[in-house]
Amino acid sequence: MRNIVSTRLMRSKKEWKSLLSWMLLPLIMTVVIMQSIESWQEETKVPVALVVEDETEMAGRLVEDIAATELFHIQFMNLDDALHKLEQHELDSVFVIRKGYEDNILSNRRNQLIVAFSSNRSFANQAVVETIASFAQQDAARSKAAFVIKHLFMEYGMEEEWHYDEIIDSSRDRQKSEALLQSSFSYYDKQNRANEQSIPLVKAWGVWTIFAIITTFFLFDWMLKENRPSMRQRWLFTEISFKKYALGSLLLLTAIIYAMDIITAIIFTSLFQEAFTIRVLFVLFVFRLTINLLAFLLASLYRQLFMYYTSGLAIALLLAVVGGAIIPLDGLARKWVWVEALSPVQSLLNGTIPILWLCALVVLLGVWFFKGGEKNA
Amino acid sequence: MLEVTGLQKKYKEKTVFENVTLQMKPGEIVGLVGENGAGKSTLLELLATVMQPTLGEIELEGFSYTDGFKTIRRLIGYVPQDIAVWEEFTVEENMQFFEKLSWKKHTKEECRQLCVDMQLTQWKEEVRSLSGGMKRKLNLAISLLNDPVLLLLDEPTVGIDLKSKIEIGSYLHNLAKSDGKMIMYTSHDMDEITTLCDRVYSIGKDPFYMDLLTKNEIAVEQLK
Ligand SMILES: Nc1ncnc2c1ncn2[C@@H]1O[C@H](COP(=O)(O)OP(=O)(O)OP(=O)(O)O)[C@@H](O)[C@H]1O
Ligand SMILES: [Mg+2]
Repeated sequence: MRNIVSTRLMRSKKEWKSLLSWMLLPLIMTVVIMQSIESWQEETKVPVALVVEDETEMAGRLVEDIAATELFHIQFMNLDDALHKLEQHELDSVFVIRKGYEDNILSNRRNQLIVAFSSNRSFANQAVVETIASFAQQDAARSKAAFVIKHLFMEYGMEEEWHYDEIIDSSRDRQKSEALLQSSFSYYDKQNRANEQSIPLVKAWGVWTIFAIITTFFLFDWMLKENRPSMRQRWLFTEISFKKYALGSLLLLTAIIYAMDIITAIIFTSLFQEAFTIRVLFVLFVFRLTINLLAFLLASLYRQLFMYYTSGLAIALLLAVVGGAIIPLDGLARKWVWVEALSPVQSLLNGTIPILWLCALVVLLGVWFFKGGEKNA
Repeated sequence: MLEVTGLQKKYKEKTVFENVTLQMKPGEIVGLVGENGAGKSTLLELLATVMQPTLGEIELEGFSYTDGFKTIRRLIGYVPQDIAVWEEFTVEENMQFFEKLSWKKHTKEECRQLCVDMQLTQWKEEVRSLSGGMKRKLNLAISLLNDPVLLLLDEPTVGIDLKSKIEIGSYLHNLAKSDGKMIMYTSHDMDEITTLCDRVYSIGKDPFYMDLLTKNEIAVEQLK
């Protein structure tokens, strides 16, 4: 094994630049793509200014709710600036949460709580108004309920047990736990479906797998280069056969590339808040082993580099699409569950182990290693 | 000892040669001549286990080729007609690479000496910047790493300058005479053949080489 490692390293040292770039490419491409998706989403958000005149808790919550909506790019400023920017069409709309917002809601006066300004180019104004109005509406409804409850309690002489805030809080909690918050503006969802869906569904690991599989095929092209017909005659007269050398190289390269995968996982953790656990590392290792075996065995079938690269590329795309790395095949998978099970990509994204793939590939590796040991192939 | 009996090689319908029978004893240098396409390389490839014959028996040091190639390959040094070296490696790295994979262990100094014996002194130079003749010398040196009993050289000296040819020739002569190696040699250079070889096999139908070598008082035998 020592001789295999040192000869392998001798070969790899000559190609370290391309090896390194193939190993770094998935990470770099993922970061670039994820970041451009993010900034694209930022750009497609509706620019809205909030002018907060009321400094009460209820107004604060309303602001939080609005800010939590992925559809708005919220800027806080004073009214003059906001109106100026609206005139310049830098903003879609301006909303003013007026002084006395909480007081008015609590005393059930519901006129002119929020004032909205828009320009003639405000394309999303109607939708934005409705969304914000629905938040205010919720506040009002909760307060009204609290108001009624409080009155009922007072009528039946059960005093001081409840406070407005408690009722409102519990209503809020309940709403959250029942996920009414999302459904309450589902009308918005339909309008901006593409927008909304792209937010959670392009996963960093999903993007990464596509490039990881493609580059793996390039990382294993030495299988063809080093066993090309003119060199094959040399390998016949070595104590360590090409197969042993190739197998040792497979192990060594798997270790090296996996180290790069771990670095990738660490970077993803800090950039995209992906989990970094022993389980993730294990699943990642099995995924790495699976695609390395796949590339290795595919390379052993080919003599021409071009044909190998082409089929590698095709397989990479197929696995990525079937595995749901590019577009989540929710609809498809619901119909045919086995479609997803077909791709090791899905296993990585789900955090499971592609046991079928792994077994099949290990068996094929055994067949490759032991078949026709005597022949020159 | 190398014993070949009734050897035949066919590519589909085309018979390259048939019924080839020959022997080699330790310490012998045997030439193999014939026109282009006569089957010299094919015969060497069969002897080197690179290809398998359609018919016939080969036995080397008492090991039959039909019993598997594992032990036989350790005894063979084969220099293919095409150069088989790593172009992006230096001479040193090429020697080291194949030494590490070889049965026979050599020190770095021994590897270097082997190259010097082949008149190749560009130890630290990248192969792709070497001349054709220098590559041939390296090709030869790598095949000698196994310390083989039977050396099969397919036009090893094409493009090698006259002085180096003579030096390599005397090295090979020494190898055969003092270490008892068997060397089979193909070449289109009749001077080289007549000075180096103890006897010659002529392959192919053309009696040209037969006549030429007989005139030069070299023991020559017609194959096929
Ligand atoms: N793969 C093949 N398929 C069919 N015929 C082949 C194949 N390889 C070689 N031959 C034929 O076998 C014959 C012998 O070829 P070989 O290379 O042994 O000749 P040679 O004596 O070494 O010639 P040269 O002096 O040019 O090196 C040639 O006629 C060639 O056309
Ligand atoms: Mg030839």
